[in-house]
Amino acid sequence: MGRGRLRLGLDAALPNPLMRDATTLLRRIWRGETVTFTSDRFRLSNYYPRYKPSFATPIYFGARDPKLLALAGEIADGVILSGPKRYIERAVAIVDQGLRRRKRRRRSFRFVVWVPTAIIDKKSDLKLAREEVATVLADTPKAVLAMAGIAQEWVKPIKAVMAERGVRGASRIVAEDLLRDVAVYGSPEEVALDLRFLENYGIDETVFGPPYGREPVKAIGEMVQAWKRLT
Amino acid sequence: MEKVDIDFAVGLNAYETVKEIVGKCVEAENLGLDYVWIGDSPPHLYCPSVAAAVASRTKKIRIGLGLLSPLLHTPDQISGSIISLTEAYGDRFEICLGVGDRSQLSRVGVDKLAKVWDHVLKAKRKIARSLRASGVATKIWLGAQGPKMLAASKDFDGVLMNYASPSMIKWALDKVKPVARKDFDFGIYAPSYVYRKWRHQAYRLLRIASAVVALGAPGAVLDEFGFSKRLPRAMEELKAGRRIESVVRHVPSEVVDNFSIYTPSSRLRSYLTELGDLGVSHIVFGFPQNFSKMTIRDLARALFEPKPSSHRLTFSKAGPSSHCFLRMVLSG
Repeated sequence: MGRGRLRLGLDAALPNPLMRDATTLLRRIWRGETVTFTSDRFRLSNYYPRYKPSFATPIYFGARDPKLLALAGEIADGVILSGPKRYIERAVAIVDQGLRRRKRRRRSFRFVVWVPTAIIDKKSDLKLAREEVATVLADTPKAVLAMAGIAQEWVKPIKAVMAERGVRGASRIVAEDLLRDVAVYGSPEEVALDLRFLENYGIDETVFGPPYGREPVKAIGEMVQAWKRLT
Repeated sequence: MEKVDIDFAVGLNAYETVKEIVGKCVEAENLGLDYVWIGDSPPHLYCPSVAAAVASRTKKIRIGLGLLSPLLHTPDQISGSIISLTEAYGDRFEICLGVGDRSQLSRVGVDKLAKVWDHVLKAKRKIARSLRASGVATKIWLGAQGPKMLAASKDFDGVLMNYASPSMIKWALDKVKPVARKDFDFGIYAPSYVYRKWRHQAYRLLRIASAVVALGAPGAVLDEFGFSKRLPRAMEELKAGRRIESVVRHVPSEVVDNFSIYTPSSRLRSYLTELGDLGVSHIVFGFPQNFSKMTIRDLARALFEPKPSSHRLTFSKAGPSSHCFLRMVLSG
């Protein structure tokens, strides 16, 4: 439930009950049940799908808020995490708390992390990563910054410049340690090693996210080769 | 009214598997139909995704999406889908906006339907602005039945009416023509069963589809054509949440004659001539014409095969000779 929802005219107050209800309802509908259900956000009356799904679709939560992370552990099939590395480590621990609340421990639960990644040939390529990190930080909730140990005072100027001069302006004031904390960058081998390191936090799958590099297609190819060499 | 060229389409309700729907659309294209329309309704598969699958397997057939209800999808979602589809597959898409089937809407919690035409009109303007800004020229139809929606259709590129009987179509056209632009298109989108060999199962589905249209029709329409006193029992059952398959037994069979295209293939052409004379330029043969590839083929044959000559050739054995001879018989 990112900011895009506002552009679409959707409101997402009380996201926890909303996500819990949505997950439960989707599973019932996909099982082919006739559903009658009323909550603040959903009202179904004798609703049943005319199609017959012959599959079970895993439901992942793209969540950052601690309460939603715990709920993901409790009811989802997986979670997609994004944010500074220290935050990822703590987020996994919170999801684990939710997993422990399940009646039956779900072994197939998947932890996915989505990281801004850049293959860097020369130092000037770093500005790509800086732009991505500025965008991510400007949209990061206070709770996530706190979990990552990032003071709001460090992020406030980035948000202010972003609002005034856009992402390029904001990227110029992203400090080196913030860049290292949020993005993964370097040679293909360095990036592959950094992403592999996330296994130590309990991550099952990593999404090699934009900006990739100055030449995205070439960067993705190099990254795939480096990953193969590592595994 | 001058005669007009008519575009022919088959409508598909998206609740089969995507593979089955795509297969039928490929068949429709090969048979020479001009359009396929992919329906959108809460219990169906998501229409833009199905349209993408159809576009990826067909080459030129035009693809209509809808009826899309702005009560279910925001204008940004609708325009975003069309822009993505056009970018990926070219200028082959059209949309039909409208309120949607009231009983289906109420099942997903949409039941405050005051001033809906105003809501649909605002959505249309927003979608048109967004498409223009992206350089996408998509025709926007209005799906309309009642007098208020029909009057609102002047702001659209065309109107698709849920009627089939010429008298009902004429009644609706009389509401729209006085306010319509010169390049405005009149179309109908009706449950259909054009058959060569009659099948009970397809007819049963036609009765259900016709009942859905009639039960969703505005009161003014039902009053005008004398149905308002004949449908209350069915309406009560529907409101109580009964499945339409069981409600249909309370719907009189005349509903099929008025709300659907139900004819043997041999009589289709005279019906189409009548509609052409009225000024109808777009006909969507809706569910259950898509019942199988065979029923789509039956439709295409009725539309495009040359009219059989009255000159019949028969072989006959005659006389004591075992030689066959050719005899020409004028069938009259």
